[in-house]
Amino acid sequence: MEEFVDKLYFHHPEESTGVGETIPANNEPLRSWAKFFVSVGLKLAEQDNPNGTRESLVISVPSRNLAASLITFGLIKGISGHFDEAYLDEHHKRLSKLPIGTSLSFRVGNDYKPAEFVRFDPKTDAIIVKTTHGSTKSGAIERHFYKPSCDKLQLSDTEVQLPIGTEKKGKRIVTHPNFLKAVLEKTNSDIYISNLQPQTVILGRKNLLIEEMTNEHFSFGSENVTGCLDDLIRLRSGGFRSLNFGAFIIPRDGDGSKRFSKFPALQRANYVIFDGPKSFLYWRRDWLEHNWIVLLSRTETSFQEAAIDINEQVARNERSELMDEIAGLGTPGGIELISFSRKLWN
Amino acid sequence: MELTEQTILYRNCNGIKVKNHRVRQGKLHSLSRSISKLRRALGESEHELFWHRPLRILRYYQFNSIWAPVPLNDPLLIDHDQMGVLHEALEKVVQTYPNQVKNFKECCDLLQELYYSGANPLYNCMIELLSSDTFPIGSLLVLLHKPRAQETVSEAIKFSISRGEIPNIEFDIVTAPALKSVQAAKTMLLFGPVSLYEKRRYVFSSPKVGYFHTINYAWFNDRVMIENDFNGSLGSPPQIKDDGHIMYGEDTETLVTEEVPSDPVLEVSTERVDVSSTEAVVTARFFLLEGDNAVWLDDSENKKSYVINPIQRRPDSHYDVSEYIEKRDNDKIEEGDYLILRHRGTGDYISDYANSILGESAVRMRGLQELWKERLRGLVEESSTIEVSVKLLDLGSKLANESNLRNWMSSDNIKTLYREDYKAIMILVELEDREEELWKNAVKINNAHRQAGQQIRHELFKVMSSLNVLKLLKTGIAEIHLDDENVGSLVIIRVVEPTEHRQKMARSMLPFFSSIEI
Repeated sequence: MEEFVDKLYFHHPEESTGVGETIPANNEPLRSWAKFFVSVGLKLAEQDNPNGTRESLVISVPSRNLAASLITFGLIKGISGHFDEAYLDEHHKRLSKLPIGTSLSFRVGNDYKPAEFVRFDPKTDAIIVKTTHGSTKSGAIERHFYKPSCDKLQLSDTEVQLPIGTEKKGKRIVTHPNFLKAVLEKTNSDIYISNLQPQTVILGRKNLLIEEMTNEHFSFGSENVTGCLDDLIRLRSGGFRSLNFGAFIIPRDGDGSKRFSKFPALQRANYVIFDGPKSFLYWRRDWLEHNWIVLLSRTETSFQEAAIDINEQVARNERSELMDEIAGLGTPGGIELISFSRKLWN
Repeated sequence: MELTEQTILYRNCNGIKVKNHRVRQGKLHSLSRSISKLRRALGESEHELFWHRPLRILRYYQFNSIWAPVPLNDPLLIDHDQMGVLHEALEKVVQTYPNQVKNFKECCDLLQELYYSGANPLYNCMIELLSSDTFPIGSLLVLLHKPRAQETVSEAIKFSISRGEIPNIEFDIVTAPALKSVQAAKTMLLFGPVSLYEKRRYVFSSPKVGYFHTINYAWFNDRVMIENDFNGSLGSPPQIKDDGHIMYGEDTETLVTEEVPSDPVLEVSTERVDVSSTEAVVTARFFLLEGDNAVWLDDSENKKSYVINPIQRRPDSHYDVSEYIEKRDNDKIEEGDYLILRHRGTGDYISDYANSILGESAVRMRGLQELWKERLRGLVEESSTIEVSVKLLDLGSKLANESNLRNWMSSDNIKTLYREDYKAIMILVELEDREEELWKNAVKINNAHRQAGQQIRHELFKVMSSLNVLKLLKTGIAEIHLDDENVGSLVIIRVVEPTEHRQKMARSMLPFFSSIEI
């Protein structure tokens, strides 16, 4: 775990001083507070729930900035190691049994394009899909996918419209693919993108979180590749248009939780991050089935009210050992944490 | 916040140093005690009309002088007219409250002496501290309880720098809410009792500086304390390293610990606002705002107000505007939120904006609305809400009950959700033959309101792009103008305290925004 956070750097792009000079791009090692948040995420990715309980980790911080984003990054990095080659066997088997005409999407480089299942060829083990309808002058374009690359083919959430003549221009799906490859280390990035499922739902300030996840730059290892947290997190907000994502943001501190908490994709997420006391106080009852990460910034007005509520919850439930494990990571000054185990019927 | 700022914040959390500077000022202490003595002697009579203004002037002086390092005759504390009010009251008190002459005269005499002396020991302490070589100040934040003294203190520091009394330092004068946005500094001077920041503990628990100097009168002997946030937690909030204390001024007074006086502006909410008997009445809640302003907001369920979340950078296309300009339930408005209100005015600006959209027909259309609402109110006055509800149900209404009926009668409710309810009302108020016309009229008004909401949001977004956000965060107040003559000037203003004071008020007056008169 330490090794991973030690290889991650804040990247400061080249900057103009405004008087004809430039400060060259440079990398700065993560400070202890940032390492702590990434490590918390990595640690949480290892957790399992004992039967009938859910875990709640509460962290009070001097500022909400970057805490939720870095924890999410760590958490998703933590689970990314679970995607391995055994998946390919299962995925190939599942694709071979699809009904004709099933809507799919396939990846070409850094884009994804629509496709429709045609048939499975048992002689060659190829999954055959068509990517265009074809016109009167030319037939449909068909592509063959074999087991080693079948992860490029995924079920589509929505019905696809195939183009008539040539294949549709795809959408860019990773902004910094080299950075993603680097942070994934041993995991294949194609397999990762194909298999990523929502891990966290974040109830917070969307504007702030998007800025943190997409505008702050990081670099990884000695390979000097740069990117942003979202390359790994692949956040979504508002809708589920694309296929695979790691975090879903509900804006305005979670306003709309009632509706979103009923979406199957979000019900499967392992953690809900309450990024601020307001989100916790107003919306926690909609997310009782999830594990909680509660980030309470002391600068926020409702901090005190939320802290009182947390103390009551701790008294009502069982204090869990998670806090000891997290504290073992080395808690930076100004950070306080507590954890408790909630019984699901509570 | 930049990464460096965040790193400084966490570094400060490893331990902050606090030095306490305690100032003695015999006369100010005596005045404070005399005011308390007078109030005790008055008991319930304190609330009588005669004492209303004189006591508020005295208490305002008492409260503001404990935290504001401005001359003791600065208009922030008391102005010439207010001195006149006190003199006038002193003349009358002989006949009206002869038992209180001694106590009241003592207060007035002490205040007069302080007024003529002018010099503020808190300010002198600050200058002594800044000019001393003992404390390396570095970049400085001066924290004041309210923004009203910012300009005076800033000018005074600049003047002292220009005269060479203190070295040329980089400083910023802020109130607690602005601390969330200003850049970190090395040192902070904090004026007044520490308990004034009880509700804003982030001043110490999210420290923007590593070294605090608290400058306070000796008779408020409180100290900075930070407690753990949770019971049995691990880790900790920032640790405080007490760096000792220094006393200033002559040792002439007995050192006693006095209670910190409350802010008298908070009590304005207990004064009743007149409501005409013909007005629709609702419960309103009192919100204290920045700059000793206040607003009464409708406390009914689902009533909303515009709130903005000021950000320092210009929002780009990825920004979620609904997070930037929110329409928030009034019961979710908190301290530190920025409300958008009609400048020094009453009433909802959205309906006025909607009138602009409706154009010349607005008056006629609003009149048609009142036609059936008046008749409905009349029927309720003759019988009761329950009886009218039952009649409406008999006539095919789906949702008639006492609460819904009250909403339908109200002028700010435009139409019923279901046509069946509307039809039932029309039959009951004998306007059945005009039902179609009146329903269409209500739909048009409803659409205009919806459109007004969207346009206001759009215009606010435009205005906010050119607003000096840093200034707004520091002062807590900014005037803006929307491109609509019916709406006029609006003000963006920070909530200081959403109080628990509520009272009945005319619905048409709300929101009721005004400054608090002392």
